[in-house]
Amino acid sequence: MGVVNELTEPKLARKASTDGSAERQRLRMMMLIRRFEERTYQEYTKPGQRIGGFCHLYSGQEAVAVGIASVFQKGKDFLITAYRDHGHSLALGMDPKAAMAEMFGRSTGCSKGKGGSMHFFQAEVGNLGGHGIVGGQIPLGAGAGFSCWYKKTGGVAFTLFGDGAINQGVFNESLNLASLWKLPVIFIVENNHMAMGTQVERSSAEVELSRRGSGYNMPHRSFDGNDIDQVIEVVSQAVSRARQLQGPSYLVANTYRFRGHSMSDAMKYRSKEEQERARSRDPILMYENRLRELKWVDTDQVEQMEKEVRELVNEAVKFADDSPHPDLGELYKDILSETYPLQK
Amino acid sequence: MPVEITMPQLSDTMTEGTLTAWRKKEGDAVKEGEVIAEIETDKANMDMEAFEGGTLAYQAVAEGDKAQVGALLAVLAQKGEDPAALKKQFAQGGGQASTKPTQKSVESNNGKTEPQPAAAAAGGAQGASSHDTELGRGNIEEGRAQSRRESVQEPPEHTSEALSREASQKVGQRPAAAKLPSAAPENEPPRLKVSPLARRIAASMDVDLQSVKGSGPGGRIVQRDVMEMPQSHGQSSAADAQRPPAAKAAAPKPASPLSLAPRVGQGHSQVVALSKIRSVIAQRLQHSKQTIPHFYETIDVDVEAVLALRARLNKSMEKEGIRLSLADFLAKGLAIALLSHPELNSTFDGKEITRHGDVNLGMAVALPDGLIVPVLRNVQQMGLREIRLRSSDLVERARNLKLRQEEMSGATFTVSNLGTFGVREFSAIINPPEVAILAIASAQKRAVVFNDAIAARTMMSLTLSSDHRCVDGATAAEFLRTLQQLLEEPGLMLV
Amino acid sequence: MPEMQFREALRQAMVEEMQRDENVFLMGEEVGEYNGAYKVSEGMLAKFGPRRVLDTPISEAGFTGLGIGAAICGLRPIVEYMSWSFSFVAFDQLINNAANVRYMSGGQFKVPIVFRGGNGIAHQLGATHSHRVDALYARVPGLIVVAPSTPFDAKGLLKTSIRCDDPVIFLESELMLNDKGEVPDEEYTLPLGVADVKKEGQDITIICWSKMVKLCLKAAVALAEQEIDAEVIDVRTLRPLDEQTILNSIRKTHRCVIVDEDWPYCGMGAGIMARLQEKAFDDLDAPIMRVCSEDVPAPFNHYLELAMQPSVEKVVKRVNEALYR
Repeated sequence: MGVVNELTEPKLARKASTDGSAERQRLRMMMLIRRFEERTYQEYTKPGQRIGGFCHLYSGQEAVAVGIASVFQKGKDFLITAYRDHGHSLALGMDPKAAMAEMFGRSTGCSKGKGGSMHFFQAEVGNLGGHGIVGGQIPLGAGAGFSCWYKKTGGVAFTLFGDGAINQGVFNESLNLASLWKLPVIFIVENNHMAMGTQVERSSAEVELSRRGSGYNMPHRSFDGNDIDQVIEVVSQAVSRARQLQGPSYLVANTYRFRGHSMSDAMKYRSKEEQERARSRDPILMYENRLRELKWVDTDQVEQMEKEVRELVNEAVKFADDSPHPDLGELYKDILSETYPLQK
Repeated sequence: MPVEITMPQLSDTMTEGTLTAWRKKEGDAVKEGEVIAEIETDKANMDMEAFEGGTLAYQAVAEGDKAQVGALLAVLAQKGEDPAALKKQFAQGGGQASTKPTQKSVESNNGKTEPQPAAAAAGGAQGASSHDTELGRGNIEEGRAQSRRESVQEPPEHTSEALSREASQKVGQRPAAAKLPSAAPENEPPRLKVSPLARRIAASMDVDLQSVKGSGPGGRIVQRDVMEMPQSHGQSSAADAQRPPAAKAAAPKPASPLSLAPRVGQGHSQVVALSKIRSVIAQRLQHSKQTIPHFYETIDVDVEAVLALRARLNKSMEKEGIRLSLADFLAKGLAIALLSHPELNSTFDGKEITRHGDVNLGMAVALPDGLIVPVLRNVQQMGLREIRLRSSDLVERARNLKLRQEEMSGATFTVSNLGTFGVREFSAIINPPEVAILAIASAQKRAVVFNDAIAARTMMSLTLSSDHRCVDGATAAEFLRTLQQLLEEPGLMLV
Repeated sequence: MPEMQFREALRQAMVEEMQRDENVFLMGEEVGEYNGAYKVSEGMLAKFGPRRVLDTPISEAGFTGLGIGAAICGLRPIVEYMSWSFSFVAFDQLINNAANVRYMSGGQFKVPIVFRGGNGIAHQLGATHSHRVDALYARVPGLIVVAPSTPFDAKGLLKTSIRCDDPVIFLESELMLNDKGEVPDEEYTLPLGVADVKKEGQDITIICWSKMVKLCLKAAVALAEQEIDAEVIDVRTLRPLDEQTILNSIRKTHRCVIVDEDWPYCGMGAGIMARLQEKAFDDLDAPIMRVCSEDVPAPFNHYLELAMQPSVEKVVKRVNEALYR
């Protein structure tokens, strides 16, 4: 009934790239994110807690962020996500030092130590940040798409959220508005099947989450979010529609987070077997194996990359640790514009 | 370097955990990310992973044991290290992590426990940083001191009940003399109800609130009750009243009456060339007197109240070394009167009159050869103390010819004070483009009619010269009356 | 000077700013084809077309967030709420996103957006449609809250709000939209954060804003008949508050009554009062008094509704109490 689903199944018809360098970069970025997150876990759990507050790790979902980043056009597109935001920020090119320093709450952090783990931002690349309230960022993403539509920039707003967010009211309002006004927005559910500790079956009446898209007369598709090639292929289809102002799409990337919801989560709600099954579908291993088959990467290169990302993360931790806390004067900065209060 | 595995802090509130089960035995090979033990926290059971690979050399706690956050749980031997030797070393307490980390050790190194002597020799902590201990900028220290990290480490007996008890006990131990001062003096039974404004005015006028009847709700003493109290003039000492009213420091010493020697010899004459300053004075005052239609009004002011107040204030400011002069009160009163009579706080360029919202008071200062007029700016914003300090600074520098040009211009009204010379009254010449000038004569005891009887009161005559082109007689008179009221009832200056 | 209605002044401000800056657009329920629920945006769709005057679905959280997102990405939206009472469903967007993004991002993003609409008790709309949101938003760092009382102020302040780089909560009143006042032909703006002394006086300071200003000026007339010379201060901007103008006045009159259409507990008046007692204590000759609405939900019945709200009589009575008369 009126729902035209123009998004096709991913065929994974990989075009032979000249030398696989783009693919190696993607693999390396996924490895960097993984290493960054695992080190974050380590730093967070060290007594003395140099990383404070809530902290949500992205391990296991790397293919989604890195896949999106590979079709993202800096300076034109926007990306907004929820509080599990380290991976997206790194994938869009954030310096791991600025990211780790933010987690340490230091003045050299990407948000000057005022945002923390859940609130990474990087304006110059169109990274509209991580947002702490479940679903709260979805209409902002629609607004970013609106700005592309209004100014006819050809840009697209990647609006990411988890499977928990789709039951919030603003999800409905935002998808309806975006579809009504044909805004260039790609709504992407990172379905890790777990809203904190509540499985999709216990939170959504319709477990095939992509079907919700038809309620908004929006092309929709769910796909394997652990397979970066699928991510790139499906997202690319949606992007090309959006850039031509044919309207938004609704995508569901099925994935799995290896860690708990946050750091104090013992994950007793899921079985060992389930976790082991998930580990066997580790997006990094899957991609590494595929590139090995294509002879685009070999063991030496993988080990070299592992060494490099480990070094980058070590440097990031050292940088964060050596960075100063924000000056107390920062307390009252960045609240209102400088011209306050005598705006004329 | 051996890898020490310590009790992780898995939540903000976690202070200790129980090692419920070992999943690896001593001697087992461990891969990075592999689970080596299970831990029970206040929230849940968690698997504990190894962050590095190696051989499990030593288990520091037994299954079921509790350990504080940061306490050593296990040691991994890395390639080339001897697990047995490490076990021996750590069993004797030779690790980085202490077996029972104290609050101090966590605070002192914020994340890394303090090295014990044996281990210090064996090698520093992993990538040890001293940053947290110094915190670069001291200013964040304060906030940090209150931070959750420290509070996590507080001994568990610090419940709110315990803190409440502790605070009460400490207050109880305070010596009686250390009691905090209250707004109302202790010997004031029953507590008077006084509005904050009335209390402030009463204090400045030295009015005893006990003697005031309050007209506000429930007998609250309010402003009007204090203002209507008769002032107790008898309190000012005779010595105060007889002291020359204008400040000695602020004016040149009058020529000594004893120095009566002739200065130009008999049969001689002395030709004096006009100094630069003299010729400017000559030119300007001639111009003023020739072009401005001056008129003069004189008013007598009873300065008993202001002298009494001055005596009290000077006593209270004795330690500061500040002595207010009558001229300071005049400046204060003038600022108020001028703002309410802006016709006098004006300048006139022959075409337009400009009324000013700030009072910049010119103060004619006599020099050996002529006079100079430094300007005290924005007097309306100043209290008496500031008037005193700033004016004496200006006068001092005027005498030493050290004023900057901008300190000698921009006056909106000028005073000429001959108070120290015993002059009964005089008139001054307007300093254009100003439209008026006030001549302040000496305060002196005079026989006057006071309360329908002849009394000796300290009186002072003020003569206002005004420019009739822009000021009329009645306007000038109203201004003088306001000034007189302010000086005769100085409490009004606070209102 | 030509006279115009409050709504016309608002419309002029929006039209002029949209003509001046291509990035300004208007969005809200019924602002376009319906010509505005209260005719504030009448004719604007015809003038600017559907790209710049957008009818939204009834989706306050959605279009509030969408506006904020657009603002972060460089546009300058004007979002109209049919009533500020409806903003409650968009509270998360206003508080967490509009107010916080600049701070959380360490100053990387500005949020130039105006949210405007009718605030407060209109006429017999009952409890859900009569909310006064002043204090709810004025307590949030990162927001600016403006509440004009005259067409002149409304136009000048709205223009400044649209040009402002921060999120502005702009409070109007359905009951003021027909009010007429002089508005000059020539271009002008008014600064935010600056109060206006609507009537000078010596005896008591009356603090008010928005719809209450007219009521207080009426009360000042009644007080003059009792030989009480009241000073009426229209604070105009609730956040940031122009403390200095208020303190100057209290230092002159030593008495103060705050008139607030909101509830007494934790309301806007309570917030202003807390600041004043800290800063003006020694200048007060009487406790600061307030006239607020009664501490009840807004009733439907006309007479009950009137009884709930501040009135000229209540203000006169309170002023007399503050003057111990």
